[in-house]
Amino acid sequence: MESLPHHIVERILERLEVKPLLRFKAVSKQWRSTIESPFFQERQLKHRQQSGDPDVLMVSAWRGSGKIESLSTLVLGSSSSVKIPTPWEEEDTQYLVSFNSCDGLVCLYNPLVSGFVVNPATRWHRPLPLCGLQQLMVDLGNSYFELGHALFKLGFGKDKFTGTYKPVWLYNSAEIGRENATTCEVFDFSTNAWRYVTPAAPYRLAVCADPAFVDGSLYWFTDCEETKVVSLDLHTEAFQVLSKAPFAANPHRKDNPYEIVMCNLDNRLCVSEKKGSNQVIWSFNAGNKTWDKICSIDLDITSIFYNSPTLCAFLPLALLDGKNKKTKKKNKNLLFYDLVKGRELLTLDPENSSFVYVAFDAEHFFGYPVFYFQSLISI
Amino acid sequence: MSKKNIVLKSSNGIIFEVEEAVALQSETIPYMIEDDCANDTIPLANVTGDILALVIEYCKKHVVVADGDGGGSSSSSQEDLKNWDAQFMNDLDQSKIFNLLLAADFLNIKTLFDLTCQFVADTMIKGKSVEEVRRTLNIEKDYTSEEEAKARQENEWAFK
Repeated sequence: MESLPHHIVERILERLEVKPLLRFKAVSKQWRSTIESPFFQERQLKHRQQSGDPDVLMVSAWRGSGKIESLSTLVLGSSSSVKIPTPWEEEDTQYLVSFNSCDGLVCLYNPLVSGFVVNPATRWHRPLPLCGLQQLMVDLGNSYFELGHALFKLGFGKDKFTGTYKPVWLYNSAEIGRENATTCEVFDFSTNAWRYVTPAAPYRLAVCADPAFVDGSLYWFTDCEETKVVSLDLHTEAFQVLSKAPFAANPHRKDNPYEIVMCNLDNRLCVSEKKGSNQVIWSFNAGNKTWDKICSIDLDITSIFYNSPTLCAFLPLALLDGKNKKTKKKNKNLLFYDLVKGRELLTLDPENSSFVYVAFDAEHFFGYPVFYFQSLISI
Repeated sequence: MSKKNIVLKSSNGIIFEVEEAVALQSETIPYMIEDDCANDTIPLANVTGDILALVIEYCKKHVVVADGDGGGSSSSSQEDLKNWDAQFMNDLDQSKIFNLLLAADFLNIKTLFDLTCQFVADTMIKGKSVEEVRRTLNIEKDYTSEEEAKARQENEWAFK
């Protein structure tokens, strides 16, 4: 009977999905050691990314019964989602989730309890202890909420030179009696502890928008009269002001901070503002430091789809490979969702402004979707 | 300029004469030409004639398309090529597929190697049980029964 040398077997295995690979750890010790090696896991992730079969993870979906379903996942293009069992299911805690996944990992967090780093494909998870800000919130109890400190969002990314994963909290300092505009905490997986990074961002942050992770840096909006974008390089841990956002100064933004969003589309930083009946998406050109308009969402049409106008800017999740039905040419469709109606995902074909539903299970009525590619990676 | 031909000789002594562009899809052959420029025939000591014939059939098909109108290939010819590749792989038995994979690895023909790996992954491994995979790839079980039971238990849900 014929057999193949192991270096070729490895090249075959890296083309498989996560679930059969977990099964095949039982084939032999050599297979197990291959499937558990970081080098192999990286190659496997690259194949998944190139094959273009992304999943959408739905976090903290509320079902009709009032119970929170912590994690469920949907392969784009298939009709039904799969529930991922978690040990914390019974706690009924509503976890928020880092807006982006990083190599198939996501961070679940809650202001008042410790969270988790999760790989939804392998069901691996690791606890994420409370950071300084969360500890302060727990210690102050109800009096914390009287301070008027907004809810800040967790950023999650990785140092692209060393491959170190870093969850990051960045929040305004004044309300909690600290100096400097902002405070920054980074989680160190090697010591299993949070540490402060100084100096933190030089301007106060615009609240509500999730930070975005693109190519080794995290990005936030500032709360300046003219909204700026600040970045944190996750290798040097230095903040810098990247650019002014391509939005006009808006004195009313404080009334509705949900009008602006940022995200990563095709590995480029994108920002977007809901304005009138239109939401333009801009992509940052790092070469000449300008913003290019990539597409716009017609909010009159989406309000027909959703049966009501949207209150917040839509959150773009990804650009998906598609095919124009008329011209048969390949194109990119924008996958996005409404923050308020989290379960209902839409795609937009920018060329002919047509929308398509990519809905989750109809029983869900709220949740936080995250776009990810399945991987074997753990920390 | 006349087209240059290259002569390849299989391990069992069968001679193939192909256009240079066909042979140069292999990243190994250029080194062999440099190393052995006195002799026109390139001996391939670990590729048998029937497998080399398959490799050449594949390379001929792919060189034609890469050489098409204006250099770039249109999307329809890409589609045709994909269908051709699928048919090409479907006609082979397991022994031929494994030997083709070894030849593509040795000759370093990236697209053929990728195609064959993907075919093996999809048709022989993906939906198979642990035992079936061991049998197909002739892999010796080096776990004790207890160790294997433990390895299965760790990811029990993946077996459902």
